[in-house]
Amino acid sequence: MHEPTPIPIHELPTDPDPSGEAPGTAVPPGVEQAIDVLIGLVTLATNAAASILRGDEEPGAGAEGATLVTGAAAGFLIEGLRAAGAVLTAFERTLVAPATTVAGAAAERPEIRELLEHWQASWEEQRDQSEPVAADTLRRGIRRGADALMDQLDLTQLVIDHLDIQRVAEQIDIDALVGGLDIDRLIDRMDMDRLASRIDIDALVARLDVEAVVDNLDVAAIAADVIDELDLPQLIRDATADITSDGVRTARLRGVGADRALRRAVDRILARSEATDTGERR
Amino acid sequence: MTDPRFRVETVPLEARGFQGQPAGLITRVAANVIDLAAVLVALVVCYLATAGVLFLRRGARFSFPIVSYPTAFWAGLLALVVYFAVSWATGGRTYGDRVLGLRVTTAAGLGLGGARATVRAVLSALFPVLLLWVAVSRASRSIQDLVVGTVVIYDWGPARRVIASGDAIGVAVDVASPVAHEAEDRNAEAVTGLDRER
Repeated sequence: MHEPTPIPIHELPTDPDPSGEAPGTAVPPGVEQAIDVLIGLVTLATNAAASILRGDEEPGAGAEGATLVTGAAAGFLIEGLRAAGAVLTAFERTLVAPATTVAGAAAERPEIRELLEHWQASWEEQRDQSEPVAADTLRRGIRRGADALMDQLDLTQLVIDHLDIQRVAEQIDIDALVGGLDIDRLIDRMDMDRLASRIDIDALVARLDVEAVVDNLDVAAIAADVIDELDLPQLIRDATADITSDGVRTARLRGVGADRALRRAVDRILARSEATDTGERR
Repeated sequence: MTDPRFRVETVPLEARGFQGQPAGLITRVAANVIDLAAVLVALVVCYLATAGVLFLRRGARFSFPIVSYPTAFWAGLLALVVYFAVSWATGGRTYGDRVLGLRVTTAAGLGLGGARATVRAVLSALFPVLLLWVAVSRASRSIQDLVVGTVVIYDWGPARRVIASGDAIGVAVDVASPVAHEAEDRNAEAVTGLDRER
């Protein structure tokens, strides 16, 4: 009950470094991060400058010297930044920390709190209008920047130079891709007639190796099967055993005709009725 | 036997209507004339063959053998009987029958047995005049047919099926004979008569 709950803001700047470093030399996280970023940027710039000076692949004696100079310059800058970091830390400790403490204490006061809340409300109001405008502006800016960048870069050539298509292809799961395709729908959308009319059947047939197909077929076995089924020898015997020349056929037909004529004549002589005409017997 | 799907009908379209009907006098006489001529040719060939053998043996002393008329008659008669009997018993047709598209079958449409064929052959050879009864007979049957119970039909087809019969060699014609049809019809009438009675 006696101990007041600590205010979160209070803790941030004043809290000593958990690593147990001396408070005087310890750099607060915010400042440290900023310094790290700056050092990183400087290193990058240095490297870039060095590579530009050196040329791409062939290092010269002069270029070596230039690299040394830029490196030294970068080192000097980093040292300066570290020193500045120490100064900044001191500044933060003496000025910013008490200010935030005061701000935190003031926020506890109701009237001030009310005022702060009023300001925040007006900020929230404005925010809805301002934020999209800001985002839009930013987006346009980025796009313009990207366009400018792209104008300078031959992206296609870059992709060709650096992309290992083979490796990319290895990563693609063709089965999953094909499985996702709705072949039926694809076929529905195709005009088969038009497709068929564009196929040169003659050329296709010309490319067919019919002889190879026939070679693969056991024609002799098939023919033997067919002959077995037909009983061809019996068929030939049946067809040739009969005397079927035109002369014989005519003689036979005339004989049959004469038989009938005689039958009719005899029936007339014997006065047989037509109903019992045996010439037309079954 | 051949698969029925692959059977080839060799009988001409215009002749299919009367296949299996009893044959008339003219065709049967014509067939007999051809058979007679064939036997005569065979006899002449036999005579010449004999003469040839004699010529080879006798040489310069050769003269054609003299055959008396009775010998020639009985020889011709014997040849004719044997020829008829063998032809009818085996295929149901002589050469003359075959040329004119005839076939001899039993009344039931089956092939002739050896005995029946022999009796018919003897009767046909000895009394060819009895054939004339065909013209008068309503069923176009000769006296020989009536005696041995046979019938001569038009059958231009070559195919015949050997089926079981009472005779030693049962050869049935492929085309159903009219007699068989008549028998079936009679049975059918009897059955319908029974139906009417009921």
